[in-house]
Amino acid sequence: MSHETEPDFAAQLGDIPDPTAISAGAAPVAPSLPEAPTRAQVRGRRIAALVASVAWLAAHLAVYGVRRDFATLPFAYVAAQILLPLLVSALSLALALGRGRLGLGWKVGLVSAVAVLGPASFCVIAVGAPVPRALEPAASSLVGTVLCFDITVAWAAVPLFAAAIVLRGAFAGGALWRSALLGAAIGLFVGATMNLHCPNVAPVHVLLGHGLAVVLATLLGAFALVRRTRA
Amino acid sequence: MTAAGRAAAAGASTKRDALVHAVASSSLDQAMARYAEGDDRAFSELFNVLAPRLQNFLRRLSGSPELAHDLTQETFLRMHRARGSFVRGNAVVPWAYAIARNCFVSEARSLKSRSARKAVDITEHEAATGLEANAEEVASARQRAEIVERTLAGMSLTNREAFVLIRFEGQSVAEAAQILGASEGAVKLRAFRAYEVLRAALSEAEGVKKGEHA
Repeated sequence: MSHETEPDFAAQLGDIPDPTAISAGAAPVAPSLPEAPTRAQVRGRRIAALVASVAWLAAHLAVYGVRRDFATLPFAYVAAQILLPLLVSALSLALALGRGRLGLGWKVGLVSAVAVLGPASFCVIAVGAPVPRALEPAASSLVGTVLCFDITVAWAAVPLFAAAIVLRGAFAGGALWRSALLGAAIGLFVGATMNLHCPNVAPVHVLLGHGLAVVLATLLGAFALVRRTRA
Repeated sequence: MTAAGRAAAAGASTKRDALVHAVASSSLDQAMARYAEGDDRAFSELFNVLAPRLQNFLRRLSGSPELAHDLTQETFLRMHRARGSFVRGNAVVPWAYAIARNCFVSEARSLKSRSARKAVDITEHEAATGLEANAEEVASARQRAEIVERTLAGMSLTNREAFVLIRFEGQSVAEAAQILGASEGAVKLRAFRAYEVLRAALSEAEGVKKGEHA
């Protein structure tokens, strides 16, 4: 296949006759329309959902507290485990909700790459980042890891639920990857919040207790949230 | 007319259609912007222009006029529900095509739809034709259209929708890629694959016809 310009490519297909050209179907009939929110209402609901989601996490962080070793952590560790996920989360949210050139979202290659690489980077950093201090004997305990996983998933549930409510029919094109990216944005934000709370630095704990929830949120976005967000 | 002649004529027609669509799209985008802000009167303006195009698009995808009729209604219902998500400044046509395509994909996935899907009614073609040409040309055009419709129905959905959007709906490769949620390269390849299959089917039919005459 050669690399023609677009008009040439369309013209190249032009000798195939239109199957509908020799027949006229029944005239389309307008459906009766139920109530539907306007743009201003949708915008208001989305802002409310964003504020409620951040407030939900901030309230939990205020109750559970910031990790007690925060002041002793090297800046590189804080940047990799907390600041970077927050930054990627903000970028993911902007990309997922962005209009793109034609109003159907950004290019699927970019969206899918960030949806995969964002959660993957969280997991790789969890395992690969140098541990800032010697591990306590119980640092990798299964109970502690499951507890953190449960809390992280519970934290992510409310933003995911809010997104499902306010983003109904929001994505006409590229819904699957944009929903996955939305799930990743929520997961990364929650994962970073958990890294800000939990003082356990064991790589296995951070990977399974915090990172697994990020991956789960991304998968929920791709396979559950998409059912609501696809227009 | 030779195949090259037909291609050139169809290419010129496609460019002309694209120009007409571009002019019409601007006022449609404004109508959609008003509709998204709650002006329900803009709906009829959108429906009158978009519904025939979307119904033809769905007909080409599904091969069934009845299904296309139903899916057009469903498409406008979904557009209505999602109107608050339509951002001012966006183009409504690719957005509407994307929603119509989502409707078709949902329908195609349901077993009920597949079992209920009907073959194209050839008698409808005969009743509706308005071409003022001789009987042989009409019969030949109808036969070619039927071959295209049958071949489209038999190929994969991914190839079919890429070809239909670019060849019949006047969408650019970039627009088709956005509507289908795929890369431009993939869409171009899919459309070309569909073209090759359609071209082979038409050539085979022409060969058989020539053999019969000989």
